[in-house]
Amino acid sequence: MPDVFSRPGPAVGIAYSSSTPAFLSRHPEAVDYVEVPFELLQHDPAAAEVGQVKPIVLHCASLSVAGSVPPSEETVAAIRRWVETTGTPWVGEHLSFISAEAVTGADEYAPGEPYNIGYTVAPPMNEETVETVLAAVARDGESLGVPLLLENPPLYFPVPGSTMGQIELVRELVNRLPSLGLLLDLTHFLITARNVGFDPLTEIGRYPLERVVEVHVSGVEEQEGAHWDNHASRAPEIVFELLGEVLPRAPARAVTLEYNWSSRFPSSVLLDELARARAVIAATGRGVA
Amino acid sequence: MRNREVQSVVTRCLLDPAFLARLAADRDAVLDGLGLGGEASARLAGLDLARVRLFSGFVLAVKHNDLWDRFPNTRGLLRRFRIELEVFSAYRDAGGARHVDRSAGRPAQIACFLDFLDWYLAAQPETRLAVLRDVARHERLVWEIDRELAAACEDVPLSAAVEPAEEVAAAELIPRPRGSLRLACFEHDPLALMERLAAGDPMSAGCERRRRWLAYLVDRESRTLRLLELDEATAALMAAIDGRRTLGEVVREVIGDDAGLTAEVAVSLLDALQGLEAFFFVPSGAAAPYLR
Repeated sequence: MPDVFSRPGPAVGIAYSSSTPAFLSRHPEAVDYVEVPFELLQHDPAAAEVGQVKPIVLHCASLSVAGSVPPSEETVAAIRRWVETTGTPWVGEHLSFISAEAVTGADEYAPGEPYNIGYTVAPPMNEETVETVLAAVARDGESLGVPLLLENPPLYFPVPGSTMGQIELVRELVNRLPSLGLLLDLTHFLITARNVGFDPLTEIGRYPLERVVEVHVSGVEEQEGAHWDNHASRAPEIVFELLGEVLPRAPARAVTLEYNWSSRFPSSVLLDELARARAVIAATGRGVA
Repeated sequence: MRNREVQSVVTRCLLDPAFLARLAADRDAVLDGLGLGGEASARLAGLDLARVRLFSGFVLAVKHNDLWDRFPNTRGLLRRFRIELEVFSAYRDAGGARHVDRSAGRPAQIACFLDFLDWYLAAQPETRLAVLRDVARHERLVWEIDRELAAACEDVPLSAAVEPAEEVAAAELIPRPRGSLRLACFEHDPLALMERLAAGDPMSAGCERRRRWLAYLVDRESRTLRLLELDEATAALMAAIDGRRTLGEVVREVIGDDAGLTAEVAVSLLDALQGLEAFFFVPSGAAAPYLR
């Protein structure tokens, strides 16, 4: 298989859903790679068969790099096995926590067990988190054998204990770890901007774009006075505007369209979105020579 | 207050709706109970518990992403009416599928959510949500029928019709469904609603509201589903058919007495049911099916 990630311009891929194999059989040239979640592979190893057709990029939501409860050795070992099996060039992981220690008192909940949300949550943005993440990357990330990219989480509510903004947190991490690469989720960035209250097009320039290896694009939805991630609807135009701002300044090797929450996401729409992404890449002058 | 304590409290809020409610009611007392002092209370004063609740609903909604595949119109209307987050947050408040035995599998968890959704929608004053309720119930019926067809089942041999030695009075025949039969009462036509959805209708304009009964008839041999709209009387009759009682017994239950159950009425009912091509008829006490 050609090395799509070494081209001058970023490769364009999609996040895996159950309709992906059929989509690829009908449109084999539409995408350059498929991003597959580690958690899905654990549940359905057959999903890895897509790697016979397209390169796989492994995505993860299990390391809880910003949490106080480290992942089990079994989990890290399993991620490592899938790194080898898929041949992924890197692993994208969320700058988040998925579990927490139980603070015990008179009122116990799930005694003896850490709390496990089963979903990523933005951490307090402070010095302690910087240290926790750096330790986690050193402990678990470096054992994977490929680079670990950190993905910015969406901020749905102000997290207590935060003493800095998200951009500052990410900047502090890359300053302390020069080898650290980033996965910039533009939709998460937009959600954070909308929920916190800043202009994403202005602030994106403050993000350490020089470290961005992969970019995510997905839909957004507004409900109950806040903005929420939505991988079942098209990205709004502003996300592609942000992509156009980022690519001239980021050495991104991959742009992933995350439309994987519904296997009924129309193929015609997915093709449109892929064309949209490629058009933005071409307009920035970073298209494949 | 260290990060581990913040994360612990936030996580418990996401997982334990009762805890979140207690925290909202008396933050200091709850945090004192966890051994977290005044500084913790000050730090957590800015935690937006209403938004945390919605986030817990969001997480639950994501964990139900398979509903997009099986119940696309239901999910679509939840989003169209912008109540998806509130519904899943309320589902979380109610405990979600926590009481469902995991060994029962995903279908049981889905059924649990659909039960909750039907209850939730029935309790809402907004008349537009009756549309969503009807669509959800229709999609659920189709889902249940699909599962039933996919499951192994023994088909009743219908190809060998047997003539009884004697003519049997219509009232003494036992009607039995040829395949699966489900009945449901709706306020709208769910098929018409889904057509409007497919056409991109924002569903903001009113939908014809008229009580109607639909019969979902599944022929296991051909694996086809037929939908029939029934009048109230026929629906009541079909709802009472249990495959064990005679037509006469069913009619007596529906009408309340057998004063009007003449032989002519019984034959007329038999003809009506046969016209639906949804039943075969067995003489009371006989083993073989009887087809007139």
